[in-house]
Amino acid sequence: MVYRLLVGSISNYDSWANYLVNNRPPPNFRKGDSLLVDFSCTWFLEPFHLVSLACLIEEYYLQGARVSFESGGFALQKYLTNIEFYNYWEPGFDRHTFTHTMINTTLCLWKVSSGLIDSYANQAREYFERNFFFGKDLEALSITLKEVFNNIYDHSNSPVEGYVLTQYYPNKKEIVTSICDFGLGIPTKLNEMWVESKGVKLSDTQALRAAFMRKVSSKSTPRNRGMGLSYLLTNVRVLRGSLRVFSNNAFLLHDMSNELHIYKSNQCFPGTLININLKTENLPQMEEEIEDQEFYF
Amino acid sequence: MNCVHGTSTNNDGFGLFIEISKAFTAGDIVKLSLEGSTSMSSSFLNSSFGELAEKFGMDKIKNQLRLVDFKPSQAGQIKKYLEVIGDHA
Repeated sequence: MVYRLLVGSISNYDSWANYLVNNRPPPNFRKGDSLLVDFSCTWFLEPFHLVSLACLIEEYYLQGARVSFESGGFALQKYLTNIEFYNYWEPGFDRHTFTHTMINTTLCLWKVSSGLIDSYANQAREYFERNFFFGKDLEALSITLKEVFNNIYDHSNSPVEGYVLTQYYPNKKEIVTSICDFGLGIPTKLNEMWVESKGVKLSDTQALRAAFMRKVSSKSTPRNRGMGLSYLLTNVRVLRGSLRVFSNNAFLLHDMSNELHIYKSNQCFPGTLININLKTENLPQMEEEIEDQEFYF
Repeated sequence: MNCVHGTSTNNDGFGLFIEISKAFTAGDIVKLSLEGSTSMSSSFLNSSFGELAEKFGMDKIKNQLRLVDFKPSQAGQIKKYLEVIGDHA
């Protein structure tokens, strides 16, 4: 049997979540069935579309689907080829190494893998420092990547792990990173701990807000101290960027006015989708190492 | 001695914790070089400096740990981290 996934450019996050939920593998899906991903009705997709679409395709793939694609417009087809989107579900493609990009403003789609967190985050930083921002410090990019990768790996319990895509928009002076997993979602994971330790369950919006407070932790790993998401937010604030997090029935928006807004969403997102926008005009100068002094705590 | 291969994960951090723990237990002064190191994730900090603070306390860190070949922002990040977790240490 062939399942057709007709992809559209849906800009509204709720509608996009609705699309993802309605197109997950049906219960009667069988190993050996085919998935045809049809881009013929779309011309433009943003990083957040592509990483969540990759998670959706991965779900079919993990259930034994043969994946094929129907191309869209020429520009989109070229873009998807250059970020190696079409290759990920081909037999023999190495999904566990850092894949070099064929388009200079975008890093390739990458499947989150614990063993490559350090190399992906560092190579992403070095790539942009070397090609676009000589003399500038992109630690904020690498640390945000590390935080979200660890968040997926330590907490999400996602069978498809996760996908990430980083795109530089020179005209807008922005680096946008989107990361998606189809795991439990931040509110659900935090509530596991909250119910056990406090005996009450938070709403998804309350849980998502709490997850961004310092020292609030789901205790997924023994040494977890509840710092990761607040670190992520701090780095976004330093560059006066923006952050969107859509997880379960909660949506968090930190915008350039430096305010945190959390809404109840109409649609439950099946995991976590994070969109980070860093303003490159606010990148600091690269620091020199101090070699002739000792630092005492 | 190069005892850390990365600064991203809990495993990276725990490797550093193990090495510094040995030196602290022996009463040695530790000079930790950050030469060429990159941004430290919260997972790395939790499993390295967080564990050190919990096991040995801040006084031991103040008395026996020095940073060398560091960037000011790195030293600031570790110091701030230790301050934030201070009431848990």
